[in-house]
Amino acid sequence: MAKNVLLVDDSSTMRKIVSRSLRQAGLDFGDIFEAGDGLEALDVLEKENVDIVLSDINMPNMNGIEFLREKSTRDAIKDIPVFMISTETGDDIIGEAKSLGAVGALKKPFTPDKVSEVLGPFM
Amino acid sequence: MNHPDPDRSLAKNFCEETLGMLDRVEPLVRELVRSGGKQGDAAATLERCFSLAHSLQGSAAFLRYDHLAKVAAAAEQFAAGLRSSSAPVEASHLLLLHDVCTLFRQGIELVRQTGGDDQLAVAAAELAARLLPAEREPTPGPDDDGDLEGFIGQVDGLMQVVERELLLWDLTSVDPGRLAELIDCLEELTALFAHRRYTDLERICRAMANVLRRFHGGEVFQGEYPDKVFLGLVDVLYEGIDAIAAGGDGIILRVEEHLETLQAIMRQPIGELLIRAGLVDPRTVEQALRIQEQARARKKTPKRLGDLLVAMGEVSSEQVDRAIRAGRACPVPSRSGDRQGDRDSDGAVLPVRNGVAAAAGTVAVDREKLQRLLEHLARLEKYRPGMEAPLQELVNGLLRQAEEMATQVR
Repeated sequence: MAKNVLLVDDSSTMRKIVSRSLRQAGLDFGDIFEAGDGLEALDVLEKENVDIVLSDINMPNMNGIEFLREKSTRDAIKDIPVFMISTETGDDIIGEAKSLGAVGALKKPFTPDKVSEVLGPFM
Repeated sequence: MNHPDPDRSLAKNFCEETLGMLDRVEPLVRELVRSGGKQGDAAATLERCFSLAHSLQGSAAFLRYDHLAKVAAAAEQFAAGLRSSSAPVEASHLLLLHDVCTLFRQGIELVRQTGGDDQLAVAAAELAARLLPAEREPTPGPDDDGDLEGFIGQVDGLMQVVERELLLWDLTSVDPGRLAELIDCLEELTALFAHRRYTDLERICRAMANVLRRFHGGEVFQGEYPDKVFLGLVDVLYEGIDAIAAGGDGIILRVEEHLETLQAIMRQPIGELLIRAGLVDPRTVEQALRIQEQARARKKTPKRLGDLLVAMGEVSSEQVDRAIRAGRACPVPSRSGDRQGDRDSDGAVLPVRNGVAAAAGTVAVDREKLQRLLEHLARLEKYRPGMEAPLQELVNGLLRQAEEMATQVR
């Protein structure tokens, strides 16, 4: 069954790029929702049927770590798997994200093949 | 790597988004720079700079704007360091952030005009190194005490690249990527020599890198064959390296002379000289520079800026020559001490002659132009018989001096 994805990033360019990578990865994705920060992401998760979240870490209003922390307190959405999208300089923070429930990470720039490799087991 | 295609809509989105962020961040940075960090919210501005660099790094890396991504990565790390430090933000940090904004804007403009950021190579490498100076350290560096063979091997490898790029100067000079590689090699050599305290070799490499960076920044070479000057210095470097390999100390004879030769091949940008002389306006020079950039983008050797402005009908060749002469380095009376005169090499005060210290016994002049001046003067000879006595006397004096100078020149 096609999986619905939520992309969380304050850069609209990044959301478009990641969306395109997902489409090129050859996995069965359904709707792709977008949010500009953690707060918006929580809102989308409460309203829409989302199966997987891909989230940036550094964002205004509510960053990726705060988003994970807040999400873990909400029963309805706490089990939705979250993958962090990081840069080279964000390595140290991935550990913290995983301790808060993130199930994996993709390092920018990633290829559609990498998307397939990381997200495949969750499809 | 199999990246998603950077199609037009993504590139357009990238440019618009980045410019939007720059429009919000730049005024804040500028205000902090102007006030020396006293006005404005430094913490909030740093946060915005970090976000700008972070967003730009991710998108630029995907879209393969590698030079923008490189600076963005360095700026992100730099801003993160400042953000987490308890020390106050210094003026030099703010200026660096300002430079980052300026380079991002130039990069976006390049992406819009050329579809890529290749021409940013040298400036990006330089700025990234300024943001994260530790990255300039040679890796791995040989120990001071041992592994001379390894050191020589490392140096030789870099020297071969430097020599190759200079031998292919016609190609290197119009290819920003090759120029960047050449500068990188010279910087690496500088660091290697500095690490082992071969100061003379270090200074020569640093000076070569600096001059090449100025060339890339739009300054022009004074002579027609700058590559010959550089290759001459490569020979000097090889002599020094050979001496080190044989157990010597790497001291270069007449190093100051070599450095002066190198500096002498640069002059002030002709555009600047013409603007200062009131012959063209900055917009015209910018237009001509854009034409040069377009030629470089097509891998063609651009016309020299002065020639281009002449071709555009903005100035005459004579005006360009005059501006170059006016801008060329010439001895300036020292302002130190009183108005009575300069001091000679022993420190004695020399008399002032028409406002210029008499110590200026030798001056740097262009040999060819002096030759032409002497030829003009020589032509006066045939008109001398018809001249009135005072004029004839003046011409006689001029011709006598011309004859003396001509003898020295020849």
